[in-house]
Amino acid sequence: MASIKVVQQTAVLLLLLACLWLWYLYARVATAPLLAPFYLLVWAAMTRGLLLRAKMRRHAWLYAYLQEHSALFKALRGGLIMWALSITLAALLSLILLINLLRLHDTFVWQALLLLTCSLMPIQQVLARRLSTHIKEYYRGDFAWRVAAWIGACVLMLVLCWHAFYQDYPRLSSATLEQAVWYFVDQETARNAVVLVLLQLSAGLDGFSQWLAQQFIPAPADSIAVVAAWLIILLKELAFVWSFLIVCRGVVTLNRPLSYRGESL
Amino acid sequence: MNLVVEKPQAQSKMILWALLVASLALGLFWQLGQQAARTWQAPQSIDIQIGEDYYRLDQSKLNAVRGLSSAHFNGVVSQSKNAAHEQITVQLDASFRAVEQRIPVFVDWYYSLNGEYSRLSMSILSRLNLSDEDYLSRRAAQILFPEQVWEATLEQLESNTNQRAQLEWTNGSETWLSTLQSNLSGARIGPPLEQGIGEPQSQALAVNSLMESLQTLAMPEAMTGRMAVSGASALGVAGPALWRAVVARNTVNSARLAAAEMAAVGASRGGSIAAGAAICSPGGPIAIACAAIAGAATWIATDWLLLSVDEAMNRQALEEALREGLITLRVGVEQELVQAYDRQIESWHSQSRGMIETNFSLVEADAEPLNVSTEI
Repeated sequence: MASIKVVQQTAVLLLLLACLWLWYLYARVATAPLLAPFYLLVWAAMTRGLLLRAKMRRHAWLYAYLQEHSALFKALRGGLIMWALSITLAALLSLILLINLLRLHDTFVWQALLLLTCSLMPIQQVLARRLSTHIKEYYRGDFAWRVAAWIGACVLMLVLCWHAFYQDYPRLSSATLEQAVWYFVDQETARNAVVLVLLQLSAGLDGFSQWLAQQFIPAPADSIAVVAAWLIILLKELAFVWSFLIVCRGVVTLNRPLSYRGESL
Repeated sequence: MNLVVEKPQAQSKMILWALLVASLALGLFWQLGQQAARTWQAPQSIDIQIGEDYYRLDQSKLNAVRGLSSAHFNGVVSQSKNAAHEQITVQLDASFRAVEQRIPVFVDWYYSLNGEYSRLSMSILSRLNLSDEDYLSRRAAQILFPEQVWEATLEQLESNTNQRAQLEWTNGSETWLSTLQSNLSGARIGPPLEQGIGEPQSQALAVNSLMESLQTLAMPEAMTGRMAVSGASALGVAGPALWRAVVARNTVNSARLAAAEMAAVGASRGGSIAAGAAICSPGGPIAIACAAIAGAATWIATDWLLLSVDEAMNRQALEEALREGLITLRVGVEQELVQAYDRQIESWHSQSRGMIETNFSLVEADAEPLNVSTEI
């Protein structure tokens, strides 16, 4: 039955990816009544993923430091502040995820996402079995997920960085920063004004990093500008991958209560 | 027994789920390569460049710009006209003051023996069809409107008026640009990349170039019109026109004076011949020559006397008539110049407005892809 659960969770993840792909296909022409519910759903899923992660970390910390019958368990189990932080972070990460997906025009990267989606749950299953003799049962599933997510994230980051490295960029060495940023911003179109602004912000960041990387050509490989540009690209891709994995986590744990050892959140 | 039953059920369920996942994954994988993101076609717009800054205007902003431009250039036209009128008035004041100062010179000539005999000679020659009848007009033109001075004055007038009009236009254009810039501050966009770098971007309409085009297209027509040296103010027209105005005003007086003068002159001619014959009758053979000299002297003396009487009686009236004729001529010249400049400025404005409306129009933009972008 454990295998069926893995397959079912993989199916759920595939449905999530299909929804995100539909978002990519139609979000630029969709209106606010369609966009807002989608965003709220992703936000809710991501909040759930973040809350689960925060709850697990808090739980582990409490059991590491507190006596088993301490009254502080209840006080420190995580409440409004944890919710507020998770909701806020989820709102931001949802935007990052959805906007980055909208600008993900390379089929190869989508195929990499599909591969990751299909392999996450099997990897988690294998890891959970392998680590059964080492990891406590309470944390085993989450720990296995985290390791699987790390593996998936590293692979996806490599793919994205490789993709970014070999992508064709306009020559911006003779352009001003304003020209470079506007060039990228000008490429974006969307029916919804908010989506357009977010797309333009993201494109502007791309323009800035590209301009920075090309300003001091020919430059030594350890040029600060080049390093900074790559750091921006890396952080951007990292935020994208992280948010994608969190929303995946939120979706595959929909049937799980937000509690550990009966401590409801 | 239950275990035996459940195992095949679980297996079939597993197979079904696996098939579902596989088909979902494969279908998604296939479609990933088939579909492309739907793109939103933004409303048409036009990019314009003012100085170093770029702006993007949609239809509503274009309409606002055209309204603003129209109102502004109407004001510029009004200012240009006023400046031209003012310049024409100032220049004509100076020019006609100089002409007025030459009136005594003309009147002196008119009441001189030289003038008298020139008029008589030309009158006789014109009756013999050896000369035209406009001798007095031409003489008035020569004395009151000396060719070089008058033409130089008019050219100066034209040059100064054109400069004033152009200055007003340039100031108005610069004000227009700055007004546009302040009104469009919310529509500012970044500068495009140079051609050949990256994907081609929309080419902006350079408003500065448009302004230069407006000026270089429209100005020469006003400059080469030679409005001041044609029409009523032209050298060959101003003098006769003035004399005609004087004659028209003094038609009765002139006829009366001419008749009296002719009668007096006729009497003096007879008198002078008789006087010459009487003086020289004792002179013998040289009496004829003596009579001729004495007669001529008496003739000239009589003419001079009559002219002096005429001058004493009519000089002031002639000067006043000339001054009033000059005022009439000045009004005519001023009106003609004002109308000519108004026409030129209106034509100029009409061309400019047409050019602005064409360039700030999305419909026209399709016809002129060089200047205007329709692509977003």
